[in-house]
Amino acid sequence: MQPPRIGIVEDNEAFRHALAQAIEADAGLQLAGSAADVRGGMALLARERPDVLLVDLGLPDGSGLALIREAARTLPDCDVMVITVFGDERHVLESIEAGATGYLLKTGLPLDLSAQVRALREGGSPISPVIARRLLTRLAPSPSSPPEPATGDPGLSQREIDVLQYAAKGFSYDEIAVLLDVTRHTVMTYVKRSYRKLQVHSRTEALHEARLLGLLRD
Amino acid sequence: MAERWLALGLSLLLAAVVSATLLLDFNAPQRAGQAAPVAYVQAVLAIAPLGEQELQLGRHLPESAILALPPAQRQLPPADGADWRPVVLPDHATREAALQSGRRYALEMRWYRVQHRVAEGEPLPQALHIARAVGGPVLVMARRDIAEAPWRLLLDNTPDWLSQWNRPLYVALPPELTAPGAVVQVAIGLPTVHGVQFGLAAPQIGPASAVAWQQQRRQFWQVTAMQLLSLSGLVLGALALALAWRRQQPGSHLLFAAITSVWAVRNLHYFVAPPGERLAYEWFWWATNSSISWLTLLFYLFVLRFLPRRYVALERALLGFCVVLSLLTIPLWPLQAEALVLQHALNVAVALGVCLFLAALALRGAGTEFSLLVGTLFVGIVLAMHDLLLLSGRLPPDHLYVLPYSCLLLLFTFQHALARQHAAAFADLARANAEQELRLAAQQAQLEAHHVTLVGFEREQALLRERQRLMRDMHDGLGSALLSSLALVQGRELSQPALAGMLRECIDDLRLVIDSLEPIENDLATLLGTLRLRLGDRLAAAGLQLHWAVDDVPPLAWLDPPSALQVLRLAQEMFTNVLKHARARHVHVSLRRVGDDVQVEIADDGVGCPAASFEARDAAAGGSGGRGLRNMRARAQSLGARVEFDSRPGEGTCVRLLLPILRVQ
Repeated sequence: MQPPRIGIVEDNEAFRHALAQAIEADAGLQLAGSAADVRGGMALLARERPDVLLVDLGLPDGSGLALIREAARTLPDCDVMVITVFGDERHVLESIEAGATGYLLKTGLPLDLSAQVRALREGGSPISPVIARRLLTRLAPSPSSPPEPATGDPGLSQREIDVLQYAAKGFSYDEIAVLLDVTRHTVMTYVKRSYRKLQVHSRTEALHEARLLGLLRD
Repeated sequence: MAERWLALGLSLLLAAVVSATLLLDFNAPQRAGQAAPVAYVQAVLAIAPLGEQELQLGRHLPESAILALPPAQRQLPPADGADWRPVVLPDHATREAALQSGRRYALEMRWYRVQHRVAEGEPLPQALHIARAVGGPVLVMARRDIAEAPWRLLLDNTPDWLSQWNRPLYVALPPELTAPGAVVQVAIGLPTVHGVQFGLAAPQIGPASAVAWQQQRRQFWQVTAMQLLSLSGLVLGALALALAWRRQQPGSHLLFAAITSVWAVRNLHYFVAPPGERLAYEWFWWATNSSISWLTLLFYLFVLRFLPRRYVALERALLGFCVVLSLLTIPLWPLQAEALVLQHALNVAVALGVCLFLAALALRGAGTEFSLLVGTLFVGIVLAMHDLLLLSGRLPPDHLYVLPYSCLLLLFTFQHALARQHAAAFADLARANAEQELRLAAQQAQLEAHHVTLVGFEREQALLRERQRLMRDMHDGLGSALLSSLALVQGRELSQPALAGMLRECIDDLRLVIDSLEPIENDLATLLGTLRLRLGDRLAAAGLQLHWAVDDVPPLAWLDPPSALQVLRLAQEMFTNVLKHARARHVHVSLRRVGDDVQVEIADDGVGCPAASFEARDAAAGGSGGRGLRNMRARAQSLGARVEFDSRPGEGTCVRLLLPILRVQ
């Protein structure tokens, strides 16, 4: 199997270099190219069509969210990882809504970069208790309001809810796998699937709101 | 709304009265080219004595005695040779101030004679019209203008005499006397008391249709119009009553209704014949004559209501005047015979006095409505004076009684004033409401502004507190760590890995602050999970195996970011202690509910130590952790929580943090 080709969009030069070096040092990964701003990132996406995009949100000429959306739109097979300092809820959630399925803590580098990229390629996404809690609030059907079948909005499956509930209480993937009697990999796919659902959900929400506002017709 | 209906009603009534008048006046059988009747202002007069009689006088009527004259005494007009002398018509004399009942008075018959020539070609039959005859019951006789020709009695008005004072008389002349070219002598006999008031309007003789028209016109203005006026007044009064029913302060409307009722009583004698029975007759006249005092009183009470202050003394004085005058004129004591003129003169005098007083007030600026009302009252007084002169015989009897007409004017003015008053009241009310609304809106805006300011202020305060907390935390944690790192680096006592470790600690601390701000929705499990994620690598690097046993626990309502940071710090301290001192291989973390608390337990299988030496060892370890245990307790206390240590040498250490589910503020 071809090693995944990785694109980097990061404005901090030192960090970009560190990332590039870590990728080049790893035989299992391949560097597709790097850019320092949104414009360069767009060109990189169009030109190199990377398998994985590592993207910082705060770029000098705009938000990395635009790149995430572009990648999600034009390269459906591309896995997007957001580079974030603290993995805080707001940034990560916005990125997931835009189409990212993973995030990379800046401090975690470069020790386990290749492991994380590989895990992501294999369908597993990292998650934090706070993110898991937010996903549950956003996607789990609340008992008070019945689900709306008409919107085609995918709700969470029971398994996904279970995984997220454990994750929200701080259990690790391994522990969850034991608790639910599945493999760690399965747990990670559940998480990734919930990310995708949040992305769809936020899009449906946007459509729904647009309809409510009369911007769109059925 | 009601005022508009009233105005509409008034207009319709007025229109009805005016058109009725016009119809009667112009559609009457006065045809173009028709010969007008001749009004005889020249006549001859002969006075024939009727003897003396003791008069049993009522208040109003010496004439009542005349009624009792036997027909035989009425005689025929004196013969040609008698004492006929020329007289100018209308003939009238002043009424004496008073007569005394039970005295003997000379009675006489005043004969007025005219010669009427029926012109060739003039329409036949012919007739006679007398606008007013005041005195005793009128006799009308006629004969051909031939000496010794017999007189024919055409009218003995005795049966209708009670209403004669205000009824125009119509007498048809017999056709055999009024052949074309013939000359007719007409004699009108008027019984009177010697020296007492009488009056005869100039008789009109001519074609019957023209004379009838004259008589009907007169009848309309003297009788029918009065009926119409009374009726309109009553309708207006009923409307006012209906309005008063719905008002909170119905005073003016009730007064108005009362005025129209009294007015109807007052005008009754213009179109109703008084009763023939003596006592009823006297009471009838008493009522109609007294009512004018009460009418005046009501007028003034009404007008006074348009003044800002009450004139109670004036009102009471007027009331007293009315009561006294009414009592004095009661027909139970017929001593004050012939005081009618005096009574009305008093009425007029009092009215004039009050009206002058009101005029003075109006001139001082009592408002347009009030001035208009007072002006109308003056008109009324002038007309009343006219009627008084007519009544007392100082004006010729062909004048009309006009006071009732002024009443119509008064009613209209009053109604107008009422409407204006209410319109003004409504306008005031509307203005007051609008002002009130404006004031309310202003107050609300002010309140909202206050609220916005307050909310803004609170938000700023909260922000400031948050900022201060962050600054303090950074100063205590991050700041001191960075400073000590700097000192170490400057002293070149620090290896690169050690420096990296210290910086990592700094970043960890920053993370704690940031994590404490994450939305955990009061869930302690999520908060602990966040800490685990942060420390997981380090625990793993230290070869510690973490056993995570986190139950569902109730949400802690008090777990806001500042408290969350304290909990994070406490838990981190607990982990750090394990890492630094325990030399353990396993660490068990559990979260569960214990009674009213939520318990965080961190137990290791390390070396352990006697509880007493725990703090000592901690102190001996030096560094910033020197006050570690005391710090933990202090932190726990600030959260309303407790920290428990359980440790024995060789059996590991267990630290429990007990957080209350409900924290009493």
